Amino acid sequence: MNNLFEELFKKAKNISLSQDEKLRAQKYIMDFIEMHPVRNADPIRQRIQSPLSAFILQLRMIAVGLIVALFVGGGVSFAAEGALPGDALYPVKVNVNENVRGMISRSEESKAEWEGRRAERRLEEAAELAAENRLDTEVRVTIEEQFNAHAERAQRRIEAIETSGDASAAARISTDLEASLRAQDRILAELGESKAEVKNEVTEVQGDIRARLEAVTNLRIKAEDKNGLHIDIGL
Amino acid sequence: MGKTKEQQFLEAYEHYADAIFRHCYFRLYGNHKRALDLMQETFTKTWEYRARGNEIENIRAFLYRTATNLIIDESRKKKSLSLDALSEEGFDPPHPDTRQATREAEASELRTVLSRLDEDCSAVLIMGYVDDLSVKEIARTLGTSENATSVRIHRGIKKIRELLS
Repeated sequence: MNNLFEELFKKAKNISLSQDEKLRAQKYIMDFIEMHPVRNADPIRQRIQSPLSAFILQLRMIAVGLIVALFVGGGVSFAAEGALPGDALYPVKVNVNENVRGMISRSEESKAEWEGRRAERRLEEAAELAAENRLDTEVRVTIEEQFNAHAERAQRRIEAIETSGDASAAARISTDLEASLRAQDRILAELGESKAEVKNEVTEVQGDIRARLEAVTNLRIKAEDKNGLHIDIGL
Repeated sequence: MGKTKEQQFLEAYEHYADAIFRHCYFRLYGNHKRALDLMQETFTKTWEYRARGNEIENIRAFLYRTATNLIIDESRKKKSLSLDALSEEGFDPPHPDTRQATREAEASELRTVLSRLDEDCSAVLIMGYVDDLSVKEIARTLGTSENATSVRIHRGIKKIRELLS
């Protein structure tokens, strides 16, 4: 019975266009594309769905600009980007720059990506501090806390995206996050090898990365399974 | 930088043209010529949407959705025709390409079975077993719940089982 059913559909998969049909249709579609060029290539405007949301987006952009200009000043905000924990400008980087960046992430996907990126930024800071022999226990604990908080939020957002039905987006975001966590783990491992002074602190951070890696990998596998799931025919 | 939108789109054509044709072919009960037309229209409609500046997150899903909409329009138009006219038009004379004709002949049993199911059931079975879409993808393409999709799949399988025995 099962075989009969499978046989029935297996043959169906051989149905295809002839070479000639495929080429002809391609020619037709190419002509069509030429006659209908893309009207608007501006990536921000592409996402706008209604005049109202366009208006709201504009207001947001103005608000963001004002916040940065009034309270921080463009130059300070820019300079803060390179700050490390312990530097005077570090709070500007984390509390202003990153939060403002988070505000302009509109879709669930870009929010998830941004949380992942923030987690990654904390690890980059740990690596920089380690390279400069500045990674002491106190700073390390603060970085770990922040890293875990962002990673946790990224994971929760990815889960929410997957449950809401977009398993392919969830798979893509978790794959990216997984890759960057692996890369940071490798960088820290090398630093730990070459710098005996900070080795213990680095090992601690790596412990956190690996725990997260495991969780993110599971998320990715789950999303991929769901994405490529074949129907169980239950015969 | 990366590829242009046009290049990306033509790559999608290269990738999915056969699959979309196959989908239309079975949804239209083996009407080769109309399936070819609808496949073409699926791509031009999708490009139109893209050319208006809209982003397409998942091109494969979008193509199936567009094809499904075109097929629904098509079957609404057909409703006014008699069933005889439909089945006459549905089963084309053998196609000039012999390899293609052989393959289509081999799939005739499936076409017959599908034509005896109601349209909802045959649509989900085609998507599930010919196009290899997941339950979730089918539900999203048809704009129904996963539950409703699973129910239809099982109803379809049950009916096919009866027909085959």
